[in-house]
Amino acid sequence: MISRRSLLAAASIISLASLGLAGVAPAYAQQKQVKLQLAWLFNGAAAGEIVALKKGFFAEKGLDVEILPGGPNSNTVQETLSGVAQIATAYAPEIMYAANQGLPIKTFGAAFQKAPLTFYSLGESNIKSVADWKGKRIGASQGATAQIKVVLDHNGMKLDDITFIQAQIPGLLQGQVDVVASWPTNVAQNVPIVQNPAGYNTQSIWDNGLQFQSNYYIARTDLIGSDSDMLVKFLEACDKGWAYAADHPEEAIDMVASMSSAIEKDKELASLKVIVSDFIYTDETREHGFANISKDRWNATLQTYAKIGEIKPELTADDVFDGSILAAAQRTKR
Amino acid sequence: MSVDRSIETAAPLPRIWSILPGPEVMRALGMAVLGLSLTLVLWQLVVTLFGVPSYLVPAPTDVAGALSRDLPLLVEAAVPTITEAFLGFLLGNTVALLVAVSFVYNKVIEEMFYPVAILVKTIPIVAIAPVLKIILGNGIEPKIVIAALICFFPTLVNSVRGFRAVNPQLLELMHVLSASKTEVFLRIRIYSALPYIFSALKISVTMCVLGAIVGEWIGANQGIGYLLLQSMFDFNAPRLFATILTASVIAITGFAIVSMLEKWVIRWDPGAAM
Repeated sequence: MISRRSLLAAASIISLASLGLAGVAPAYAQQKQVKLQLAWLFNGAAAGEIVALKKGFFAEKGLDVEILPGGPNSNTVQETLSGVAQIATAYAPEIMYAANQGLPIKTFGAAFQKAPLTFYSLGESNIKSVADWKGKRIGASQGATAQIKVVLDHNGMKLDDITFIQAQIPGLLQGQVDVVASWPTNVAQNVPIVQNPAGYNTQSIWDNGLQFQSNYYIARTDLIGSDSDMLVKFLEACDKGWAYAADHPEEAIDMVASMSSAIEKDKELASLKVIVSDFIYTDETREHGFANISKDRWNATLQTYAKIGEIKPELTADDVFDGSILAAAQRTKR
Repeated sequence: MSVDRSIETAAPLPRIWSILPGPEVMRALGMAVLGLSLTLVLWQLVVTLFGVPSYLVPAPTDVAGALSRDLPLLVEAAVPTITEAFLGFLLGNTVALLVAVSFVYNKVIEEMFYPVAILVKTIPIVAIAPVLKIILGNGIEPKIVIAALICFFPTLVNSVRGFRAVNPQLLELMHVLSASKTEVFLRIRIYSALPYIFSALKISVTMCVLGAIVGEWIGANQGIGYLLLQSMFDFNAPRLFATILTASVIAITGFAIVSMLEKWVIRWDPGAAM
């Protein structure tokens, strides 16, 4: 009795909400419905996709895209496999682990040309290179241990040579760790480090033996085969969205803010500018175009992960990457 | 039946003011406010004297500033969380009550499904939440189900106990009066179970807010859980604390509403009636 009532209440709330949405969004009867699952919350790192949605670049291509927010407990590989979304953004390690399990997903583009993960230390501790990590306390999220292992391995060390602590920037400022992992794109969060009177040092994974990309676009392998047309259109719209976000960062952040009330616009704007100039557009996109993926880079990354025993050694770029979408799409070179 | 009257004479007609707090409650409230204020003053002193940076622990004044500055944001975030928590509360407790009744009337069902209920209880909510999102999608549904899962067990255990905690003499009397099972349930068991059920509801009403927040952590762009995440990510500790405070206020309000309902429904002395 009450359960039916509560269900009815839920149903009416949902239908009211969808009515409200229908009132705002123009109805595209002929549009193909696509769901994009983000790896993280709505913020500057998804500005290109959000701009493509808000400026109607997806709609121009005949796609009715819904962007779903992620979060720390979100597993976009699983969500893509289960059909929660057709397309998702994902990070390199989880894609490699999925391939290691033989799961049928592949990358078909990479919004971020370089993975931003960087290790910060304060000037006082005088950590000039990864070699100086020996005996130090390294802080990062639990998921970053494999990346740390690779970076250490590249410098002839093992995980036992350092003390791994789960920590964030406040841990570094409080002296709980000597080195902490952060993304340089989180400009505002890194301010206390950057403004440290004695300066600061950084070691990025990119410069220390681990050159994978980030915010990969992933889809099920069978979808890449059966509906490459949709994925090509999707990629072209994202390309246009990122180009627009790069040219109009303030407007892009306004669009991001319209989808997530809690972001702080000034922080996200600073972040977006770094994302665009250092990560979305690099020498490789100037030469090959937006969202480029290098097969050699995937092979090298898989080898480093196999070397530290995280994945099977027989995996190759073909297990994680399908180049057909990138090849078919008209991509901006900038 | 005379047995009805023995219970109902203790229960006068419901008067709305009878559920409002009396003088003794007001005193308790006053003392609580005093204790809270002293804690806040101490907190402010420690933060100021030791120069604790605000990204670590914000002073109460910082939190108050964030509260007033972000009030529209907090209110906006509270609405979806309250909706999810409330619907989860209804769903979880309704299912728990129905299951409890079936347990009381059918030993076999109890023997078969009580272990299942315990299993449901022991599932780590943070682990099951992403799975529920995959099954139920990205909308309000997984959040409601997570809130319901958290509510389910306390209410089940307490109401089974309550439905059974009947004075055997009363049952014998009903038997002598050849009362049907339904009559025994409606006249005896419900009254014996209500105090137990309300104890459980008081637990689950605060827990369901937690469930809704955990639900929002798997993917949301609104709600208290989302605001907590974004504030944590931005190292915006004052707003983080203000959001935590908002979550507490929601839970406390729920607790107060259930307590007032309890006062209004249970107008007999549970100890004496049983």
